[in-house]
Amino acid sequence: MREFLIRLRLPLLFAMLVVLTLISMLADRRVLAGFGRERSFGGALLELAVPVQKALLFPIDFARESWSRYVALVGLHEENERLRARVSELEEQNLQYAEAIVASGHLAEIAEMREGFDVPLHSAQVVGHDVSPWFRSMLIDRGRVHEVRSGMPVVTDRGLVGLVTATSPHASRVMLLLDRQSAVDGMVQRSRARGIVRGTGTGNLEFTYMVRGDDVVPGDEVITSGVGGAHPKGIRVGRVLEVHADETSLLHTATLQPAVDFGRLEQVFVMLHRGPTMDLLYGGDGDLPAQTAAAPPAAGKGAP
Amino acid sequence: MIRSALALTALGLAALVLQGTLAALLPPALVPDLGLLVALSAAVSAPALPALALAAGVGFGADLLSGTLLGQQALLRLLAFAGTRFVSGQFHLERGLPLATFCLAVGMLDALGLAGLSWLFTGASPFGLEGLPTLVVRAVLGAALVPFVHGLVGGLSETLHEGDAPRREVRFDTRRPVL
Repeated sequence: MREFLIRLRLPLLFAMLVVLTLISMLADRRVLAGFGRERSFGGALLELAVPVQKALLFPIDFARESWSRYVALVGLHEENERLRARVSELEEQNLQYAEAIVASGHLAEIAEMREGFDVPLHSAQVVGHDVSPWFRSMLIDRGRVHEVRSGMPVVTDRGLVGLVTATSPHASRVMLLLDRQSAVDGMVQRSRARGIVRGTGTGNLEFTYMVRGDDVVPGDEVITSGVGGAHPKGIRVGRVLEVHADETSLLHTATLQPAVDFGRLEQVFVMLHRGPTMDLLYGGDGDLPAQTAAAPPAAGKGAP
Repeated sequence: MIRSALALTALGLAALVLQGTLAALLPPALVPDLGLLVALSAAVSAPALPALALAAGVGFGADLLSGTLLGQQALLRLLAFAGTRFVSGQFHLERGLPLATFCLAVGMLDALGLAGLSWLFTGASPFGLEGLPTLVVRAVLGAALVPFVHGLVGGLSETLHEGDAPRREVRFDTRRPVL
């Protein structure tokens, strides 16, 4: 019997692993489909991913730092002389512009964004990107310990980034708007034309299910409509690049340029509130902090 | 055997780390699936059990660092392992050209399998027809790189296999008279 098992250990192990992958896929799918509670069964693995992803970032940062310190500074002495003269000139200007920078700079935009929402925001650092070119997600360094839950929207001062889809105590995975599985109920800010913003897997978004005759033109801003309860109303999603109007079709589509530059994401903000739909999907308010569970639906910046 | 498994797992993890690093620097089409290349190379040249462990480890690791369902890429890596072991029995996959050709086919099938599993389990494919050029370029890139990866994995495997080889037993027949 022992020899028999030893001889068959490879096929047996292979079969066990295949069954394990199928079970884990089914379990993951059930949670995604809303049959389960929080998608936390992979929490331990996600916890491990953050140091791994930080390790991924290390060589990039190291290469960039090396570049800026050694390679890009060739000819430093000549440039240094020129810059010294320029510094004194700029110092004077700097004093004049300091107030203006505080008022209109990035920090002010973030502060304005924070004030624009009724729900608390939690800042998070992007620690990793998807290793597969077919999926668009990222890891952030905030998790359940920081009151982050699956189904919470993630934003920047530029607009909507995506939705938290998995959490662990200290990390979360965020599905980006660009992912083909992402869908957000949106509307054109100017004409109030409604539609669904879908990810295309590329750098742009698709605004679908617009009724023929809706007033949508290139340049229009698209914001979240708040319908469905997944995202608060009024978050910028993107700008219309092109409208595809097929006269034979009842529904039109448009291509959107995302409001957020996904290639340069470093810091994001998790909205510590999730809508009733997401509550139902991810298991009611049992795993929400009391104060956020009781928070009223949010009204976003720029909401009409 | 344990040393082989540990070393190969470390190599697989390093491949994923490198792949993630490249993903942040290069366009998606130019990022080779190093996890797949290492798994294929190990299936050709490493002992079966460590290679199987590597395939599962790299697959689950990729699932963890990606938006796939947990187990999706792991299943594909396991199938790639089984396919490689089967085909390497029929063809000389340890040689460069057959391995590159096989890797080209596996690279394309892997992406199609990923799309198929996504469609089956979530109802949506992660890419459409617009993703085909990326798929082809990645497969070609993988085929071009796999001989080098195979050389690395093969060298590591040989080195460790010598260390792991069981001591040969020498039996003496004590019933026979010595003189």
